[in-house]
Amino acid sequence: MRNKFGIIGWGFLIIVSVALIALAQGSAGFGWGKDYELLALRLPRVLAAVVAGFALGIGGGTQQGLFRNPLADPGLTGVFGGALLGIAIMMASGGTWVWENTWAISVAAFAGASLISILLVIVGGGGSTSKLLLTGLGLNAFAAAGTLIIANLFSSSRDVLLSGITGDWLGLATLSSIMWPIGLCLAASILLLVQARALDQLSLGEEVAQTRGLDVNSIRRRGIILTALAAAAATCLVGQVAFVGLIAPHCARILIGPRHKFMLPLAGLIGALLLLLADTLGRSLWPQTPLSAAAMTALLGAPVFIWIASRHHE
Amino acid sequence: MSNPLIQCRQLSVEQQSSPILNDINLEVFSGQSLAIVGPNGAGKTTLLRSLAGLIPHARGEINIRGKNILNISPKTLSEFLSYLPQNPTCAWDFTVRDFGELSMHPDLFEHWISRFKLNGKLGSPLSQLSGGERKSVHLSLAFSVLGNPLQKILLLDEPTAALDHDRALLVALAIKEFTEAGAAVLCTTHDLPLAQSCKEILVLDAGRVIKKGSPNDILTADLIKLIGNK
Repeated sequence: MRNKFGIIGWGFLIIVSVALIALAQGSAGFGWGKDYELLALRLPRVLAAVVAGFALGIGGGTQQGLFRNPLADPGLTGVFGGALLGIAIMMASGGTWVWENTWAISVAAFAGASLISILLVIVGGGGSTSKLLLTGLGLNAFAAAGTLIIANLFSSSRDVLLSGITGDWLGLATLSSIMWPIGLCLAASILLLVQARALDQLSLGEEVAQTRGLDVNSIRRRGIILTALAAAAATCLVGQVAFVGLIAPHCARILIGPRHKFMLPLAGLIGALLLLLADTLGRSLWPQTPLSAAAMTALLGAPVFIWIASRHHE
Repeated sequence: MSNPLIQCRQLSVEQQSSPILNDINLEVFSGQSLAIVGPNGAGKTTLLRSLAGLIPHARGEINIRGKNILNISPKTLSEFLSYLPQNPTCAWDFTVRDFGELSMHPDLFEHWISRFKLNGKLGSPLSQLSGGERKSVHLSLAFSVLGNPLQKILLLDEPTAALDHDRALLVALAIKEFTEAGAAVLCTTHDLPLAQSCKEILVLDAGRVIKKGSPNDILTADLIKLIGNK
């Protein structure tokens, strides 16, 4: 038990260290610049990456726990796609009003993510792993098509939406634009952590969990809504970024075991570390043509996904 | 006689409009063990799941400790009812010790783990245990979640399936200990020695009660043939 708290403590220290390095690392080289002006520029980006990664790690771990499926991930199950579609609809219909009321972007992302989550449960829930993932892929494709159509029809928001699809919004982060999504990410993450014991009981199957006193439907509804909120808020910060919610819980289970009360916080820390490293490496390795955080996480995530799929194939 | 812990009156259960259980009347009291036997598809598991409040019934009523099951919340029911499904699973590779932490009574869990001769494997993940050992871990959890057995209900679906002879005997002994301590135990089984060790046997066929009585009265050659035991 003490070891497990130790691992989480170490994870926290590593995040702080890497965040300090990320704050100092930029296309202008290593350092915080004269009068710390570079620090002020990079701080929102680093904060956004850490908090979004934390929420995605916990959201992915929760979705896997709810579906009892190691391949569930908000990116693969279409939740990000739904969030982005919600943002696209808001941008198309709100015009300049949206940019003066940035909270509306978070609300639209949450609405889109919730809609896709509900459809996922209705159409793909309660069946096999393949059914869930194929339903998620279908919903994701549908949402992506909607976002692309809107980007095509409304040229004013085209560039922003296209960079959202490629998970490249961290570069747009400012302290004022990230306040709402960061607040929502943290609130959703904390509320998801409270569900850890219920997810442990759910590991034994829905029927056994119910006879252990769990209101399974209520736990599932709450988990899905909170995961949608975490994914939506993370989308507002980063754009569409797959695999963080898949890899982080998997690594956490290897390091600390599958009990959710330890696994979820560590998955959050690993998610934060992954996204922060992906963003920092993406902008440092190729300073002239920086690579989006989503591209870096996909490079890391795709092989892990294939590995997990081959281990858990049905 | 005191009030029954479980009472079914004219219980009927349907799935997709097909009758699975028909007109079941049943009373189980504190200190009683009841083996539910019958051929595959007779409705044994459906009866147990109905009594656990897991599936709705079309007609009739189920009273648990004198109260209609429809008016008991899952949380309240969990305080005096423990259920073990036929094929218990765990989505993640929990260690045996992790299961103990899922029980409200970890000491009691370790007591049962020790009786199943698994105390050397507390730190082992499920993936490193045999099928019978895994079943024993789930049984230990089902036996330990209720604490003091007095006036409690234990529902076990095929508890000895996948167990070796010694562990199957331990399950029969555990049922005896639970009933002596004041619990009511219901188990579905194809294991005749386990059925014989219970105080009563109920025979189901095609969703109806065919017979109910003591093992000596019930276990005739024809009946053994009916329930498919060789």
